[in-house]
Amino acid sequence: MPKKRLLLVDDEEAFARILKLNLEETGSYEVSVETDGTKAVATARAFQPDLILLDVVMPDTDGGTIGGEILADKQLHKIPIIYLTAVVSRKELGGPSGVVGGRLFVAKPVEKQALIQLIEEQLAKSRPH
Amino acid sequence: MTRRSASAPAQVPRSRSSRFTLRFHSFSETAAAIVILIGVAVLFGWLFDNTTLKSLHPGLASMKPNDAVAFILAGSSLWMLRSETAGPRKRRIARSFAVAVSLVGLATLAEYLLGVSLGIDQIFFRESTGMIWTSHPARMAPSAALNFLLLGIALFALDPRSRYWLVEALAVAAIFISLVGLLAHLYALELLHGTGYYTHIAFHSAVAFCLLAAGILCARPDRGLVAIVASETAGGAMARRVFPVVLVVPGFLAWLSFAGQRAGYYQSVFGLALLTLGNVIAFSVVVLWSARSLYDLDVERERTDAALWQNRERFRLVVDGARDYAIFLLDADGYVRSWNSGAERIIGYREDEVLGRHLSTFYPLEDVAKGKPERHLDTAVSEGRSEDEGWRVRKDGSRFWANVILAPLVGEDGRLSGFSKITRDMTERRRIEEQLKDANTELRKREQALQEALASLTRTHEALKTAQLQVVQAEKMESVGRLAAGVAHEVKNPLAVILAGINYLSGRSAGDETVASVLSEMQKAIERADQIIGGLLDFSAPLNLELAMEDLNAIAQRALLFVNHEIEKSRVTVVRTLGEDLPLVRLDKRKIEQVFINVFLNAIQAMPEGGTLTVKTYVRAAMASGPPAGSRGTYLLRTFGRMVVAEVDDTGTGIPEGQARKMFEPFFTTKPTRKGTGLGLTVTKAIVDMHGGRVEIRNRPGGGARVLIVLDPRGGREDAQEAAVARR
Repeated sequence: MPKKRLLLVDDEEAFARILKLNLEETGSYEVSVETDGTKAVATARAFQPDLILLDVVMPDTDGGTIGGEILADKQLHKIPIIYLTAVVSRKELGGPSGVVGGRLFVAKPVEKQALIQLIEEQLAKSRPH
Repeated sequence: MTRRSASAPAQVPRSRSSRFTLRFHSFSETAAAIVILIGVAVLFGWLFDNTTLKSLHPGLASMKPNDAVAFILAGSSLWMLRSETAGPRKRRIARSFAVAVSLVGLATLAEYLLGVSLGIDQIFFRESTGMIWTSHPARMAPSAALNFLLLGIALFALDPRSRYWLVEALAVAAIFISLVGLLAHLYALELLHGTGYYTHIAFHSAVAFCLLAAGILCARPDRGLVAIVASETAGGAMARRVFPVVLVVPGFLAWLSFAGQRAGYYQSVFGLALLTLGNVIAFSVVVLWSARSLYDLDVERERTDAALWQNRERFRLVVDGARDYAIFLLDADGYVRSWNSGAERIIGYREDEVLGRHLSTFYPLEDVAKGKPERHLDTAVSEGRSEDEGWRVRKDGSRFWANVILAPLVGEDGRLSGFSKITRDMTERRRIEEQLKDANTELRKREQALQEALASLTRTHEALKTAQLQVVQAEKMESVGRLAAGVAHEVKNPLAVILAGINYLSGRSAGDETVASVLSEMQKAIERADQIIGGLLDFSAPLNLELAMEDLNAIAQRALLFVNHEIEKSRVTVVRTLGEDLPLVRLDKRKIEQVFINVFLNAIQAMPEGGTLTVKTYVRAAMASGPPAGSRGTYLLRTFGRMVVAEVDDTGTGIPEGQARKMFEPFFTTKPTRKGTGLGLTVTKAIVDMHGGRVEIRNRPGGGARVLIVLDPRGGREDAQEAAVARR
């Protein structure tokens, strides 16, 4: 079974690096990290991920804009996005994650297992039958 | 001026007769007395055969005994009748005397006419024949007999009033007869000397007759012609002036004329001429004198009349000119007798239409039915005046509001002669008064409305002020919210890094129990930190409370655990006095826990050199101490009896004076810069407010501060958030 390709966009380098370690440790994923939000779309085109983990609050741009560009992109628009952010709290989401306005959010900090479970769910939904 | 009529000749006004009436009365009395005296004296003359008493002078005729007796009777009769109020017995005697006098006269006349002697002449005394001036011995003269007959009748008829003219006629006739005798004595003393056919009337008899007749006339001075003479009218004055002259002067002049002739000074024709001339002069003087007096009187009267007329005219002009006053006179029965132009203007009737109408014409029918007009007349009579305000009716049937003053008019005789009535039309004034009253009421209403508006404005102002404060507060809170969100974000990211790191390390530490447990503790700490940040976010964007019945003591204990590190660091001693029978309180455990943490941290930070932190919980009655009246809190506290209180004391520096209220404002801090956020107590208050409770901070008497958290066991509500926001 080939590894799933995950693109992690987050300006917090330490977080991005450790999360990449955590995810790749499972052996199921190949994780690419992009810490510069403005290059996120270009990186996604180049990497062609199966799923994108996208931070919301970043310098120079934000997750909302990047998400919009990806959705508008013919090549990328089918790629599921999980928004990872410290801006929304678990309470607001009604748990570690939640769908707000059709987008899936995960509140930082997030437990590794919970995140992996979410990623798998999203991959299962997007996988062609 | 004086009203008189033939049937009522005595109607001379009393005021015009009093002075002379009294004089006439006393003259009548005197006359009666003199007449009696003359009679008695003559009787004595006969008794003692005294010529002087009998006839005054030997050459004169004597008064006969019957004369004397008749004079005594007649004089006595007049004396008894001199007062009109004589008793019936006295009156009977007086009248019988009068009858006797008349009978003596009548009998004597009969003797003369029939040529017989009735034997009455010498009943008392005998007289020898051939006495001077005497035809029959002791028989009274025929003129005397006639006089006694006349005056006897006059005395008999003196009292009833009805035929008084007869009394006057008889008395006057007697006077004339007596005067003939008197004049005869004066003129013909010597001419007629000798014996004649008739016995001559004696001189003093003639005088006595005159006195008696005059006395009779004067006995009733308020009647007949004497009343005129006695009156203070011009006629009376003239009569009193002329009568003495008329009675005395012609006789005296005639006597003078005869005396001159007898002395041979002139012939009889010249004497007659002199007599005539004398009369002419005398009467001219009297006439001129009287004319002068009458002239003066007339002038005076004219002047008085003119003044009177002027007064009356002036009065009439005033009355007629009073166009705003209806002034009219009523007779005693209430019928209109006069009418002025004001009355015509106000009430509408012309004078010729209204004269003779009754007062009730001007009253509304219902008032007439109630007898109001008569009552007003009666009141005017009994109280001397009657004033009334009420509706009256005009000629055209319209009504007007009238002020009426009714006064009785009383005549000279003290009897009611009518009423004067002054009516004013007050309709306009009444209308204005009503309007004024309405306007006043309206004004009062408006004033009240204004006051209410003012009160409402004041309330609105207060509300606005509160709202403004709330807006300011809200702005502050918003900035707090933004800050909190920023802080949360910035803190959560590192937490995310740490958690991710722990997760990574957990996978690597398989088999090492110690490392695994350390990483687990670290993970729990991160979760706690995350919760605290979540709490901060909750405060900046409050969410619904998660209410449950909780044990406040347990929450306080947990909060103490959270701050244990700080307590130890600052060497603070903790004293717990937790109430044992504390009821469960409906609250959000997490939020109240945060409240305790905030309060504890605050207390610990106030004691950097160490001290005692005392935590006390207990129950008390809500009424013991409440928040300011009018707040929702009071209502709640009052409604639910018991309150659960948590008291947190420190032994620190206390609150600077006057800043207790500011303690709950965001970013207010008494701590040195960077030592606190300035949000702790603000968050605390917001949470307690959300629970419908209250929080207070004050200095303790022994030093340090005390924070009181008062909660209603049932007070927390799902929508408390709203109330809390409103109260911030």
